[in-house]
Amino acid sequence: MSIQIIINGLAVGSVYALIATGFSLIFNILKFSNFSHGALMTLSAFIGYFFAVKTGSSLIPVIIVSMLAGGLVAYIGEFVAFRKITLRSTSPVYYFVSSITLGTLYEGIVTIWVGPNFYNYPRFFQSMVVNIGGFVISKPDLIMFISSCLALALLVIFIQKTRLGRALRSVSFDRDTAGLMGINVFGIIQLAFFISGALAGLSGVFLGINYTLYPQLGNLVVKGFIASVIGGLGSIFGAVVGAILLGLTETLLINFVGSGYAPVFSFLIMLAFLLIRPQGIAGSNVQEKA
Amino acid sequence: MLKVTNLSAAYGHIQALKDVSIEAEKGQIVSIIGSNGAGKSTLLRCISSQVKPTSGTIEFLGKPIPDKPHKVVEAGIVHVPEGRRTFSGLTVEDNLLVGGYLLKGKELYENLEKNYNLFPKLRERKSQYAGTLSGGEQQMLAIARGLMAKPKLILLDEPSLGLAPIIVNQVFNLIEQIRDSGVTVLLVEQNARKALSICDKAYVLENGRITLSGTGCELLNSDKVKKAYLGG
Ligand SMILES: Nc1ncnc2c1ncn2[C@@H]1O[C@H](COP(=O)(O)OP(=O)(O)OP(=O)(O)O)[C@@H](O)[C@H]1O
Ligand SMILES: [Mg+2]
Repeated sequence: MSIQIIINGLAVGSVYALIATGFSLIFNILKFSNFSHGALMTLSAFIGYFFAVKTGSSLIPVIIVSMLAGGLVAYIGEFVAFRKITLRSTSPVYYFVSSITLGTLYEGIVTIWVGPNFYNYPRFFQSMVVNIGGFVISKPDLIMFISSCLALALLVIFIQKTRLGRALRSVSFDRDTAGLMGINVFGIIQLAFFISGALAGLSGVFLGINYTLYPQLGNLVVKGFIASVIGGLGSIFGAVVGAILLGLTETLLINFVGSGYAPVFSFLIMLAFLLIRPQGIAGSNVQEKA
Repeated sequence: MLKVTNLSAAYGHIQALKDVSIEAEKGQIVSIIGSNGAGKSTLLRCISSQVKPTSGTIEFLGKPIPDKPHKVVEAGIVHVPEGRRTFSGLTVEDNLLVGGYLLKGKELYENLEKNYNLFPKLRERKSQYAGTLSGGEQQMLAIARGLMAKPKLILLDEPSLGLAPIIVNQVFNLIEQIRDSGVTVLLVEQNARKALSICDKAYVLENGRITLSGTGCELLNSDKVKKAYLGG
């Protein structure tokens, strides 16, 4: 087994972790699965793509543009699609319907805009490999892994250590009581959507680099979903561990049994978790509403 | 300081408050007693803008209260809700820091220190999850969390509920201490004897209406109160 496969697995896993945490943030705060997350990844990845093509810019600005775009679209999406539901606290089924509709809308916009074709990001690197201590390692993999870890570390510090992060956690636990502490609850919900959207943008660009860009790229959100089930829905820590495990297993399986079977195994792993340990690795006991 | 005038509130068709008027002056403890479902919590929720009244006005320091709960806190009113509602998955310290959300930097940590001195037990437990505290400790945490915002007026909803007698005494001592530190207290209680004995003024709420009011002493000696709330 080569070190290259492991690095690739870690890189893929860390991108899944970005997807899963973006997903978990919203799940935690409003207690629903945001099915528009995948389509938002595609949309913001394409915005980054066209920015790259038009300006010929390097990777970092493209990432920033995609993250800002994802954050902004998610922020608007919250207002348009979810605000009324949250205010009325009616049946959570509406969140489900609304997020699927919103996702379909994003995907529709992308398809109209770019057609059903496949696109490739410009080559951001001169050389595609780096040589570290005699090991030949793919540069995109390494960059993906490092930047994902960096983003996740920043997110954890933000949530655990800052004033707004504490507010975010308290709103996730008990929205009404958080309001009694002087916290502007909707401001915090908007912040969560912005961060979640920015994570969608980051993961979208990385998926686009790793595979190719096409309107259904967002379907890979299912990997983030599996990761958060494995990790325990709602737990960010669990989602990260679940995602890395999933990325590694998948990559190893692709190398040993072929890419056709790998997705089958992903779902088997998820099913096994649902049967044996439905609360996931971290065992958070959040009840899903929709 | 607080002036509630002809307040009515409803949940759908259920009329919870009818024409309620109460007043609290700076530095007082004002108690509201009443049986289950009388509308006590609803009154507090109106004051903290969680429930919109159907009619009537609420003024604080001469101004109408803001229309969003978080703005009410900015105005200087903190509501410690019924049933403690501590953030179970946050540590004790994080609960307190969230309580002081509106304070910045140095002031926040100074106030944290002050509250740890007032509640030494919470300092011992500061890295423990709030959900693992005992009921009495959670009540102390809920009150301390409320004080973290440095309120001018604190609304306490049944702080002695479900606590052992010795802890109940501690809670009432604490309420007097809070008053002595200059914070006005609006206290909702089912433990009428205790609530009346520490308060400056009290109101009896029945079926959404104020039926009686007076000083704590007056109400303790009222036959009606004795019969209905003091067990004969
Ligand atoms: N969210 C709600 N929806 C509908 N009705 C409600 C709601 N909250 C309270 N009520 C009703 O309003 C009335 C007053 O309730 P409230 O909670 O204010 O009483 P309370 O005096 O605090 O009672 P307790 O001592 O049991 O806490 C009750 O009849 C109650 O059933
Ligand atoms: Mg009540």
